[in-house]
This record gives sequence, C-alpha cells and structure tokens, in this order.
Amino acid sequence: MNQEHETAKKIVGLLDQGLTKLDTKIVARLASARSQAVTLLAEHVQSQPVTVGYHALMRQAADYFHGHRGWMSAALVCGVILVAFVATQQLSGKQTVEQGDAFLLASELPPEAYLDKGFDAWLKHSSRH
Amino acid sequence: MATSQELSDFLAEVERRAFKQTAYAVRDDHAALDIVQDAMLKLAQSYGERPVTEYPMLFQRILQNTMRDYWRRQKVRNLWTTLFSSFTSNDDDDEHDPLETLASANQQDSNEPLEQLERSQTIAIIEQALQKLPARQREAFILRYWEDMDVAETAAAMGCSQGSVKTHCSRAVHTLAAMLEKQGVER
Repeated sequence: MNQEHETAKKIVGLLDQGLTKLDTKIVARLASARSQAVTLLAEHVQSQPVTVGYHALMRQAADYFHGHRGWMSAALVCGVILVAFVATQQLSGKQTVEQGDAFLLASELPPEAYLDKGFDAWLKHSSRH
Repeated sequence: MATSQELSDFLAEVERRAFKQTAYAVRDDHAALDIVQDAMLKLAQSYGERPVTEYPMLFQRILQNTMRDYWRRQKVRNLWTTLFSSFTSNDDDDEHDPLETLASANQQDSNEPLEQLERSQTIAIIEQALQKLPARQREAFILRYWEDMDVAETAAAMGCSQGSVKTHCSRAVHTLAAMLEKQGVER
C-alpha cells in the first residue's frame, strides 16, 4: 500500500513538473477563461443585490431567533404579561375616576336635599339673586 | 459566499491540472480548453454563492459532466459524419473512444540538456500511459493523487463507492508502474 502510494506520488510529482512547461498560448487561454468566470461571478452578484440582501437578512433573523429560542420565548411571555397589566390598569383607573366624580357630585348635595321642599324653594330663590 | 478574489485564486490553482486532466481524457487541446472554460463559467454562474471550500468537489463534478457532454456531442456528430462522408477518405480520428491508445509524440525540444530531456521524456511517457488507462481508473488516480482528495471525496466526485475508488486507484498505479518499467523508467 505504501509502495503504491509512493509510486503514485512520484508520478504526480513528475506530472506537476510537466505543468510548468505548458504552452504559453494555453496558459493565456486559461487565464482568459478564469477572468471571464470571475467577471461572470461579479455580474451575477450585482444583478441580484436586493434579493440577496433580503434573503441574507431574513436568513440572519431566522438564525438569530432559532439560536436564542429560549430567551425569545421568555421575552414574549413577559411582553404579554406587561401589556395585560397596563391594559388592566388603564381600564380599572378609568372606572375609579368615574366613581370618584359621581361620589363628589353626590357629596355636594345629599339626596335628602332634593326631597326637602323648603330647600328647593330656597335654591330657586337664591339662584334668582 | 466566495468573493471574486477567492474564485480567481481557486481557478488559478486548479486550471492547469484541470486542462491536463481533460486533455488526457479528450485528447484534443482545443476541446480541453473549451471544456475547462465551460466548467469555470458554470462554477461561477451556478455555484458562485457557495463557500470556497466546496469549490474543489463542485468543480470536479462540473468538469466530469462537461466532459461527458462533450463525448455525447462527439458521438452524435460522428454518427452524422459517418453517414454523410462516404465519398471522403476516412483517415481521421472518427473513433473517439477514450480508452484507446494515442500515438506517441514527444514534443520536447532536442537542444535541451540531457537531464531535462530525460525528464521530459519520462513525463511524456507518463502522460501517454495515463491516456491509455481506462477512463474510470484515470479519473480515480487524478482525483485521489493529483487533486489530493481523500477516498471519500473521490468517491463523492466520481459518484461511486469508496471501495471502487480504492480498486481503480490500485489498478491505475500498478498499470502506470508497469508501463514505466516497460519503458525503462526507474520507479
């Protein structure tokens, strides 16, 4: 096996030496083909900058979310709890204000005052002056 | 994604070996250049977004497929040529079987120093021997030893099992060694 490998390497070494003696026209043609391929790659990249950028961005976002799935789930639950708390506070606060206003209005004139005929007459009399 | 510079560096590294590899298979320098150029363009166009580490395998697969396309086209062309060329002499290479032997042609300059001449002759003998190898053995030998791929990579590039790669490589090395000995070249 080793003998086989050594023989192969020796043969390959000689083949490599042969590469240095390639005809200049062939070398030039290969260089031209290489240049065309590189130009084609550059054109290919430039022709799809938006698509590539969009896909790259989406792929990065997906990779990020996939990599931080635990943290993302916890953050989502915390966000939902926060929104629920704020909404509850908003609704209950409004109700409290309405209750307070009703209490204050009712406190200025006790209900008995509206049942008192003398007070009603006094109120009409005083409002004329 | 590979940059233009990375692609350029990769192609510069493999282009000469790819040309020789193709020339051994198709036995026509012009056709070999066309095939290598096609393979380079296909790599840039279809696989430019792949990382540069995948390029060696991809390029070999593309090169092998482009060579196969060439042989298919040659087969069709030869069929039509045979049908319509009954009035012309049939002394050109109308059989393009890659397993056949190519007549030897030492293209080295005769005024080089003796040592260089001997080395050039040895290289020429090896190249002829490689051309004489069965296609799969040559492919396995080149990928495994010249492209320095491991057995698994060679098997993936050739689309066969690792056992087949080992068998092809072993037979190729033994055949080449025997040919070299027959030509009086020291192993």
